[in-house]
Amino acid sequence: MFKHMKVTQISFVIKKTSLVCLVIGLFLMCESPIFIPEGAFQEVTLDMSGSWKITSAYRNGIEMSDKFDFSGFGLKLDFDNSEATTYQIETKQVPFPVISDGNWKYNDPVYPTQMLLFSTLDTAIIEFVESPISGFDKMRIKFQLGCSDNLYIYDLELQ
Amino acid sequence: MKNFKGYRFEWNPYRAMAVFFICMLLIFSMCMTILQIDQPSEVGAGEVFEIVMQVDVSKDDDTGDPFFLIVGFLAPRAWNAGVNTTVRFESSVGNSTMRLTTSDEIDGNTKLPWNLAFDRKFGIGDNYGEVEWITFIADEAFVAADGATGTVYITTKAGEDNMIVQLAYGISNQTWGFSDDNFDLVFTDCMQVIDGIGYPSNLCGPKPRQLVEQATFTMDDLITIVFDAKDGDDFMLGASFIDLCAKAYSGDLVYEICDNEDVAALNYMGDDVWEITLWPRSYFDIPENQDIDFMEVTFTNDKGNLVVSNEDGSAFIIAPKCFD
Repeated sequence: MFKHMKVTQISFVIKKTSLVCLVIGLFLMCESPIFIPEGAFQEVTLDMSGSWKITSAYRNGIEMSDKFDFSGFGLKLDFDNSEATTYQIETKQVPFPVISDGNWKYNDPVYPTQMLLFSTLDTAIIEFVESPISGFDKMRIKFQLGCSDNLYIYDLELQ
Repeated sequence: MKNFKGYRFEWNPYRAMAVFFICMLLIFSMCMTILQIDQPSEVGAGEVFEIVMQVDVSKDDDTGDPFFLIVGFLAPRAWNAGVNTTVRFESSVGNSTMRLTTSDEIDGNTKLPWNLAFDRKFGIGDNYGEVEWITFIADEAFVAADGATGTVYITTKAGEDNMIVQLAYGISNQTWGFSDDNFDLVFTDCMQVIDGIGYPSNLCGPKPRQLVEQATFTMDDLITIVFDAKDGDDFMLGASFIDLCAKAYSGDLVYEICDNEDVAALNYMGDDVWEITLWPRSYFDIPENQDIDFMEVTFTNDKGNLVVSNEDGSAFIIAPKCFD
């Protein structure tokens, strides 16, 4: 097949063929089994079960702890990695968008920015000021209660 | 030539030009007058109603230039009239719809956007606050070289809250703005919104005592009730104890905390100012399926023999105030 080709053409074909062989060789060399840990692609939902207490509270950016007693508040969240689980709330005069027990879930199970609380009468949207990360024991939430001009922020801590 | 004081009158071309321009303004400006306004004295809450305004433009404007009519409407903020109002006019020189003015459209006289210009020039009448001027400009220009008469139709929607308010109407035009007679204004008698929500707030009355720290709130908010002993009756000046006596009205039910309970003591903030922060729902222990319409409060001393209330002895009203 080479007898009708010029020298330059022959060297071009050889070069090209050896390059292809090299690539194939490299590919074969690298083909070791890739280890994927079991469950790595499984979406993990943040576990925030436990009892949460208020450590500080703000109304429109003003610290309210010295004007109002927030200590009686307790929010107990259950969590078993299902769509919605139950919560129990003890408000003890502390304002909160829901005042009776119900179910709750994240707005997005993997990258939550909100908690949705469903009581028999109300659905409340509680926003995370910062998205929670694994192993957290503090969260800062914000919400409205009545007039949209008034914004409330609670710092909660896991007991 | 000498004037009466004996000084020589000097011919000043700039002065002459200034006089000439002032004369031109007087000649070429127009005279706009509101002849009559038909506005109901009472409307139902949430009701859509129409105001009809008769307008006259005198024939002083012999420039014959087209101009855009401006209409101002003073309405309660709670009505959200900027969204709920449409304006149009019919006249002897043409008809036009009107739209809200933008912040770029200004009154050439005050150099302010029209809504602010109306507010600055005319104020808010007998209202103590909580009202806003909204302003409209004609979509079509019209020429009134020989004068014109017209009818402006304003369709708006009352808010859901009971109230007494003074509305006002103004007209001007984009060309001349608030100069000379190029505008007119009418504050109408205070009107009433009935069959709505809550205790009526009388914007036409005296500005109520500030009872709640936040400017806007509903009964679902955490509210801070303020008592300034320096306001009105001052017999609580220097008091060592102030107690809140409060009633919450929820439909036909009334909840009351008024017997010097520990929970009702106000905190001293200094300078004869006292306050208490409470969440009405839990303060009165109101079930989740009920809402509070409004509250009545008075302030008492520890013996309960001194009570601060309205001059006529009635309790102060705390009604929700929110413009959502």
